[in-house]
Amino acid sequence: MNCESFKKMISERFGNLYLDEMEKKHLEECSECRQHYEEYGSLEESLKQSEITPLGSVEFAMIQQTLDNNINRYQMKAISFYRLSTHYGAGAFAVLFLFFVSLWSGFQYGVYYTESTQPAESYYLADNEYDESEEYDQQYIELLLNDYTKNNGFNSGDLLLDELTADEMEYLQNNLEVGDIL
Amino acid sequence: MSETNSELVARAKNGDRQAFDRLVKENKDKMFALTLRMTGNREVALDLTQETFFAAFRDLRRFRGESSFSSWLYRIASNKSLNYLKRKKILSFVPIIGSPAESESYEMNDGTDQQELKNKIAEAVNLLPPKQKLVFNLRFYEQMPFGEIAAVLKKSESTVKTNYQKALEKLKPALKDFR
Repeated sequence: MNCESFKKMISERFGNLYLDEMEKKHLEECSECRQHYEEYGSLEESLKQSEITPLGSVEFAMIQQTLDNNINRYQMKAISFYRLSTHYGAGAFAVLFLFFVSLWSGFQYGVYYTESTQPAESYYLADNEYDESEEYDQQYIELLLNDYTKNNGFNSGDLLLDELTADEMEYLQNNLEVGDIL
Repeated sequence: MSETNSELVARAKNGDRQAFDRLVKENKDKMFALTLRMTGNREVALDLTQETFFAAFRDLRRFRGESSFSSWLYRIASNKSLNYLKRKKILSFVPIIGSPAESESYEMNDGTDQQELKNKIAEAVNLLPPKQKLVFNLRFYEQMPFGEIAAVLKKSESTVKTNYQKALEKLKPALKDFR
């Protein structure tokens, strides 16, 4: 053990000074370290005499009273903050709720209004879309035609132009246009 | 942390005031001793002790139990004491005419040599720089291991040891006449 490590050890153990066998042996051999140890030992003794008067019961009661007051005040503040935040939070929620409700109802009205003012759906069928009403109408028309031709004594597809004269036929061929109804 | 202490802390965290009051009673003497040795003024030490426990109550939810509850309290009390000394140092530059000098001794009861020695010691300790004084008090009077002091002050253990050594070197000549 050298003097430097001995002195370092003394300062680290200051307050509870003790020596092991190796350190005691070094102390016997080194007068400088012996003096250092004695000085620190004396200082330790002096400092240990500085005792403070412990906290009295009256003083502790004062601390406790102030602490209770501070804690109660702090808790009241926390509660009032919670209440305020609850009230304002509920108010904000109600405003938001009303806003979204009005937004939603406005949206719904908009859809209804748009639908009610649109032309019939059939006008908007694309070429590749299937229209059931068209098929129904065609069948209905054919049914009506069959009834009509049967009631009048001729079948559909009969040529009714056979009774015309050749001049009349020529006139028609020269003057009729596609789409004319006879 | 002992089982009882950790249970008390857990109960106090859940809002149990009785558990917190028990923690206050268990730690009051240690906190008062530290603040008194740091400030040298009994009235101030009472205030700082109260403030320490109030801060602990307010921030109890932040205490994660990584150190002992008393170490955590020591940290709060240390910071409060250092802040007080800092404020006092600033205020000492503004002299107030007619104000009585603040008593800086722990006890002023008798005029014997023994009392004189105590006063001299208190004066010598008070003259230490705040951080060295804090390390000295925690180590010498509170018998705290260097590792724990380092954790309380959030410094390295070697820094704490150096502070302690420097404090002793300053105290040695100051108390030479009384040995």
